[in-house]
Amino acid sequence: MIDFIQNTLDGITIGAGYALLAIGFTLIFGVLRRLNLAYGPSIMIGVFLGTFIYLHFDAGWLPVAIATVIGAILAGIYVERMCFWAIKEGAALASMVSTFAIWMQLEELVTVIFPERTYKFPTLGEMDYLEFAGLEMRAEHLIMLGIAVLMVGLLHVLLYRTRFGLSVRAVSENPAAARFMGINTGRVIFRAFILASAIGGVAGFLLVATDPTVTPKFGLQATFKGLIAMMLGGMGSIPGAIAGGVLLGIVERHMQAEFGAIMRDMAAYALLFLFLIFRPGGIMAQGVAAREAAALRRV
Amino acid sequence: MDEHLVSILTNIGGFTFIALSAYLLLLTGEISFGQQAFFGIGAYFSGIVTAMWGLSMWAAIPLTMLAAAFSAGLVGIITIRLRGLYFSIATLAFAEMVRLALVGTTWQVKIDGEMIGPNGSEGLGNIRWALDNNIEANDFMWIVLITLAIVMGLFFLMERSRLGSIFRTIGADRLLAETQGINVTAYKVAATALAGAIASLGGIFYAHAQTHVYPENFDVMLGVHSLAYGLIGGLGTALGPLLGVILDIGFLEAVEWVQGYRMIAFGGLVAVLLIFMPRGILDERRVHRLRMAFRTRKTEPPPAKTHDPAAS
Amino acid sequence: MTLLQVDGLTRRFGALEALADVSIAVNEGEVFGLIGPNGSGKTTFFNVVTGIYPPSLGRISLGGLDIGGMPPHRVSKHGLARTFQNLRLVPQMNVFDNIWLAQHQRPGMSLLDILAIGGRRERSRRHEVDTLLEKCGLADMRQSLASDLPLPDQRRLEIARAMARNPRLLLLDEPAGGMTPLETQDVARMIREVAAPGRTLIVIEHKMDLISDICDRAAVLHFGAKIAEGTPAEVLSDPQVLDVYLGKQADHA
Repeated sequence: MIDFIQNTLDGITIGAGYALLAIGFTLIFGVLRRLNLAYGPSIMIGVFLGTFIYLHFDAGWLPVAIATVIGAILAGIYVERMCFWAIKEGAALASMVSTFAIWMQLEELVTVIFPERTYKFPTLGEMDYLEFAGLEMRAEHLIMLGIAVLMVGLLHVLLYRTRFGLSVRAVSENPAAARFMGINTGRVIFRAFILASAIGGVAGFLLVATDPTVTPKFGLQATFKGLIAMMLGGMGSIPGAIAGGVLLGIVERHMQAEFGAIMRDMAAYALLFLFLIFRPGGIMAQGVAAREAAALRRV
Repeated sequence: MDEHLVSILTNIGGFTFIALSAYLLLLTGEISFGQQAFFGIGAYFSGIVTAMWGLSMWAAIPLTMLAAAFSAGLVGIITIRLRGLYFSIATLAFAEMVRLALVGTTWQVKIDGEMIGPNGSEGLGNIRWALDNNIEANDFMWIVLITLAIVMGLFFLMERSRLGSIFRTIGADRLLAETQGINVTAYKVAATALAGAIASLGGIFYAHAQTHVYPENFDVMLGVHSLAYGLIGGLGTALGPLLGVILDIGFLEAVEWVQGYRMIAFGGLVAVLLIFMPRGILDERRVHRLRMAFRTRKTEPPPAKTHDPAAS
Repeated sequence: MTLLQVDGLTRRFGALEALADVSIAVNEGEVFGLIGPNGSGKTTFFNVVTGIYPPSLGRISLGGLDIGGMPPHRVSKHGLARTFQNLRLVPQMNVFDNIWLAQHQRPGMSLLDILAIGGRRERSRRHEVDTLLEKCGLADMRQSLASDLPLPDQRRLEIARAMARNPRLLLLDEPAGGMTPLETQDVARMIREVAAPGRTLIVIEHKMDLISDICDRAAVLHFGAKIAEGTPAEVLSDPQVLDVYLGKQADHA
């Protein structure tokens, strides 16, 4: 029993990182209705920039974190300009394949500059385990959870209390109407991209700092973890992204503990597959009303 | 022929099958991230048939294509309600489950003192049908290329028949297709099954050319590449995917100094190409124009100084 | 004889009642007009009859066969074809192929016919397409991509495509939408001379002269309910109808 609770707890903390990735994905999908496969790889650019200043300047975790976020934003801007801004509306497939091409490009760029298989990344410092009623928790996990909650709170304020948030929601709801109301959709998309990349940068930093090895496969992992978590929660929904991330974290953790790494990944994909078949709207789907609305949009 | 060239051409042939399978689904408007699963099923299934059961590759081809069509059709039926991105992600999830299942599967039997069969992440080795039958690399290349020519020929025939137009109509406008009396569900399942069979053909040749395959050969990178081939080469004709494969593999081979930086250059090139040609080089409009130009030339009286070998 | 019999048809979207208890009977060989302001439920009526939406309540029968709730491809097989207000051509296919495709699934077509690229029957069907193109004045554009045609020709192509299915009942959704008066006359002639003979038509239109010109009878929808039915002259002089339309005009002013 105590193991079960422990694993669940660990799952939630990892899941918080996944949730942040999924939020970034969902934000971009919301304003663009297109999939950004290069999301994980652009975060990876940030992570490697962080590694770089850590190895060459022996920087502490805070400058590394800042470098990670900046790197992710710069790579995100590159992706947005190449794959979304430049490709006209109606060519969603071209956009998606283009993000894949850029992904390949970024991944190879990183392997050329960083030829070793793995690199070290700073931790949040040597910290003790916190113990409580037989459960233990790594302090940096607790910090990670705290930062994730803080980020979600900030994001909520940004989306529901600011003019920028209003325009993001308007574009997500109905881009044509938003444009008609004088919203510069291109600029909103650009800014949403920067926001998503920054969130992704924080998520990337937290995930790598608690498991401090960096590999070029990080891009692939980040893309797929974020994608699965987003789909589990329901595309375009931020509460869904959080729920999806946490669910993914918990399931992965339990499967890992019981059956090992292959079954962990298998379970993640099986869960995704089952959700898509039986509940494609995700955890937060709204049933009949949403389906009727979709039917109205068909013609 | 130069050994290196033979292996390149064999590779181009093998990958064109999976690119064609992704292209077929693109025609019906579906983006599959999962064709590598059927490529992998093709490689493993045919490898088991020839290496473990001792049958010839010629027997393995129909058996494998049937098995792949069946499993792809099943996936098509299960995912029939999913559209757009949901379908893409479901195929991705399926393909990753297949790959992980291969990693987790060990089933070996002793044949002639050797352990043969799938061995987890060590893959499936000893697929020696070509070696045992003294089929040289050069001959094997011709087997692959001739099969490819047949499949491409069938694609051209399909695109001239109503079936091709039905697929394109479903892809362009599903609702219109339904009101035109097209049973979209049935055609989609058929297209999925057919695409699975075509992808498996690539896997069969890949396995028998390599003699050893690993689950990691069939990861998502292969699937997305096969999608990208069709989109780079163009969605207007079955030549598009072939052109995409030739560009990718040919580019890598032709420009040796790019070796280590291949994707930095190629990835950028693809991204730029897609800005100007969002439906690929040979898109519907360009194919239409080429066809028109060809047709007017055919109907006009031939100019005096043509060097048409067929006419002389 | 009644071809299409619609009884008490209701369609709701959440709280919105897009069609409220509509009953219409269309006789064989008749050209029936469906008029009403924007959002009055005309296109929804087409969508429910063609099976795109199932009805919430009510019966739809085509020649005695209950087609309510059937999926669109099956409704279509029972001899119903339609055009779309917002034009649904396959843009990357040429004019000929757009029509040629529509012959698919006509009675007597087998899987072999779908795969055929030659043969006597296929040749005669291709010839049929060319005849139709000729009749509809589209023969010159036979090889053009559908997306390259000007709007009036695209509308005509939609009508020609619907006719290629040899339907018993043809539904035209604003066949003159977005056209100049001259182009409207053109399309009216085409409907009268090519589409209507030997066929039953239901036409949605805003242009009253077109309705008076081609329709035998007409019905008026307002907020999803039928408020009038009769000959075009009767309907257009109905005080309630005048009120609806004049009210609308007053809104525009």
